[in-house]
Amino acid sequence: MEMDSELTNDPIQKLSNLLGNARSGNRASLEELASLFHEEIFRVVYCRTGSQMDAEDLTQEIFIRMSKNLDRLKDPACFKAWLYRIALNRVRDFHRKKSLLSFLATRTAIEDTEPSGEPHNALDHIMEKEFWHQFHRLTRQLSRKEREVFILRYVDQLGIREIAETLRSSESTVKTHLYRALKKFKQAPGLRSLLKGSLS
Amino acid sequence: MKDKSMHLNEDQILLSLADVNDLSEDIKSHLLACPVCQEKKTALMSELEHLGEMAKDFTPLPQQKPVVLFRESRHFSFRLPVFAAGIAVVLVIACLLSLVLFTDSSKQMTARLSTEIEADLYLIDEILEESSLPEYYLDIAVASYSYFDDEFLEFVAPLEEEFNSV
Repeated sequence: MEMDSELTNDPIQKLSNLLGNARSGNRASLEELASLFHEEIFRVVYCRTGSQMDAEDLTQEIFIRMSKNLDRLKDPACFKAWLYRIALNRVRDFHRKKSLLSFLATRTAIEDTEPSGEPHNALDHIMEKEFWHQFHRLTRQLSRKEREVFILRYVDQLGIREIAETLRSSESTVKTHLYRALKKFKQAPGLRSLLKGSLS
Repeated sequence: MKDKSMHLNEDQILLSLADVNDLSEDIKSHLLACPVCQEKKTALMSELEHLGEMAKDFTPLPQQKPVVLFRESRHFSFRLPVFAAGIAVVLVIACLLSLVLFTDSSKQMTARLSTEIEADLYLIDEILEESSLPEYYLDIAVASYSYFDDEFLEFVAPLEEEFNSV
């Protein structure tokens, strides 16, 4: 049976099998594929929107789009980069709509990150709020490309090649944007002191 | 970087973070050997790693399960030949039917045309016939003037030649 091949321990092989089965119409494989990347994609969206509600909605949209267009994916090896590209495009659309709405004054200006729904103590809550505040302060100073590359590299933990695939750029372009972003990160005392403080 | 007392500057440390292979061999070997430069790089790296960890920690877990859109048309590859065969059969039947219908109609059209031609020929014959009316109707028909003979007509309207001769 097809599902037997998914019992392999090799994650790349498992992903490849899941993709193959999902593409040939196996519903269980498609659902497993979505749940495998659900948390990761949610995090990608949350870091860029700062709102749990919006992140939930966008994540759903991303997985619907994924399942709709899975047939179009030419190289299964590039699945992660492809999924990230869908996610980043959706986030970009979201920001575009949001800025249009705020321009039309139908909504208030871009809100700060909502605290996560997890119950925790006051200090953690303050820390979390301060972290996202400093994080978004830094990312606002970066250009769009610099921001994407920086977040993909250090928050989403993607390698240079994966980032290049996701953004459809060359590796040298990615490195250049990363270098510029790192220069700006070095000049972000608020975020760096927060990071240093929690490290010590 | 031949001078051992010299260290990597800030830009070189940042470049080494972006990709250590982009640095020149001199700088790479210095970085490998120099604990001061390594410490600088490591400190910055751990800040960045910590940034990722904190972002992960401060991201809530999604509340909803992912919804996927399962399309029945994924079986399209299996159904395609059946669908194509169906279409082909319908087309063949349509072609055959149209061929039969077309042949029939051409026969009918030929028959109709020949009938029309016959009727036309009959009409032409009738027109060309001198007295197409039956004998009985010739007396009341306008065209029946058979009792005016040549002599009478000569008297009413003499020919020009005869005038000249007089």
